[in-house]
Amino acid sequence: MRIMQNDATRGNALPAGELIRKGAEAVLVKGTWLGQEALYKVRLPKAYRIPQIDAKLRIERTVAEARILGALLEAGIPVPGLLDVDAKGGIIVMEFIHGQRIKDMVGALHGKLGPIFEKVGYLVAAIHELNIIHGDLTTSNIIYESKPDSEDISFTFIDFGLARHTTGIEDKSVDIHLFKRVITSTHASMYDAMYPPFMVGYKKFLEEQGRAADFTKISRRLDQIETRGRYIEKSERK
Amino acid sequence: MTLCLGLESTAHTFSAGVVDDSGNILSVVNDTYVPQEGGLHPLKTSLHHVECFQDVIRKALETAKTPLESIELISFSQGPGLGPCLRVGCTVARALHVFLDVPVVGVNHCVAHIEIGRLACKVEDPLTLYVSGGNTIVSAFDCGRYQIFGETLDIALGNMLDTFAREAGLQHPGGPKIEALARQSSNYIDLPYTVKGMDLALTGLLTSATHALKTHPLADVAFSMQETAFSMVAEVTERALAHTEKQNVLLTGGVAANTRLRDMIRSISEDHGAAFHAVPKELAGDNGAMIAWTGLLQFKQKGGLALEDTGVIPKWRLDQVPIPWRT
Repeated sequence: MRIMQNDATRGNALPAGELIRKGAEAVLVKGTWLGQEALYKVRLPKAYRIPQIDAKLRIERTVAEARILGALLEAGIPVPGLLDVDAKGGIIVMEFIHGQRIKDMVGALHGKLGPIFEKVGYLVAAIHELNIIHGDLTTSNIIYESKPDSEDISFTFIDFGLARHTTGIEDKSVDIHLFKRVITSTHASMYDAMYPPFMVGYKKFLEEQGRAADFTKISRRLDQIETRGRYIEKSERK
Repeated sequence: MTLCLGLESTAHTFSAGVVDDSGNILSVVNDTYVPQEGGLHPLKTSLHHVECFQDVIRKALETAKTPLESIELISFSQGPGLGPCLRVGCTVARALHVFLDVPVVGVNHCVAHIEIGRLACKVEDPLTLYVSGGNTIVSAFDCGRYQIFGETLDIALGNMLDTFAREAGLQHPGGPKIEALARQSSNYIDLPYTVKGMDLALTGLLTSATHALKTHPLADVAFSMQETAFSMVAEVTERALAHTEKQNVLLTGGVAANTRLRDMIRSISEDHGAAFHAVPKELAGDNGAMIAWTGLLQFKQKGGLALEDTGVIPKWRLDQVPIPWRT
């Protein structure tokens, strides 16, 4: 199925609507699709790189992201619903998610970061269970949908632009490692309220699957990855 | 007014610079080791430093019109870098410290690159892309440190360019020659592009580009490798810029001299409404002035080092260093 409201959205023109955010990877436009609210993720050509590299990256990443969104939706992971894809135009049309980036809500969510990050960890484990890694797990890429004062905790993972299929424990561990790095660099003072609960949730999912041993493997690999970084003291290397 | 003599000896360059505590750079004098063949051998490089350090320091003092006796602070690169090379700067610094009876401070080389960039470009809080023979780091200040938002997972950008140049039979330094060759071609050969989150990896690209030399003209490979590598660096910088929402971008390090890379980073900065700054060439590469200036900042906050704490730290990450002079 390939339905686009307006052919002008193909190619490089932006679809009609409100510019939501200009990210590093793509521009997000809130528009409509068959009468419903929709988010257009448009990978615009980047002027800084040559057309050959630009086209390759945009097409590859658009197709890969759409496929992965499809797989995650099927498994019931909270990600935006997929409405349409235009690979050559670098466009994915998806369900519009109302909410705010967790990055911008750390203050407002102060008291409940623990349960939130435990759920994040649980769901990241569920994503990994599908042999998919997000590739760019950050607190900017999780949209918090519940009211900050509500008991309910609901959020949606977005931006699977660097996600890919992988069965490797290494890739899954790197996914977690990068998230930890983001917490350390962006929310250094909140580290304890975020990362340890995240790992609790991750472990909980695997235990529920009866695979506590896999968690041990992952956490062992995480330790390894950390000591593998550049300029780690020899005494800290395993 | 405090005058500081800064000594830089992390890798191929021995450099001395004199800077005062208002940020006036009175002199920078460099002597760079160029190997006859192969890469930098740490021991041979350090022997070069041993031979040239007296001349370099003498010239730096002469240019600054400063007698040695009026130097009130000695600063040296304590790390990261090649152990034998670092130890030359360290030993000279210790000797001057004892001889002149003035305080000595050891500074982190990567911090110094950022600080001299902030000084020279008059920019308070930039996102910094630091690309050199030994480092490829995207960094910004947060929570008392220069946090690392992205970096190479294997080799540095300059290291990749130099190694490729050697494989292609080009004379050292390879960067400018690759840049010139790349300008002669527009035939892109598909090469591996490896960005993982905000980090990048370059060894796969280097290996593929080296293999491509057997089947493609050198200019085409140089063009394709440079475009691929710089696109990767630009992408991780752009990701960090979108994430941190900084208003300024600072490009520094030896590879910052490359015009194509400058154009790319300027382009992404403009795309995000940030101002672009490139550190002037004489201060972008390794130099003693950046060590002197950072030493002054550090001394004001923390004082000098005891002699027993002046040992070199060859593996010293940028994000391990507290930055008490910024809030």
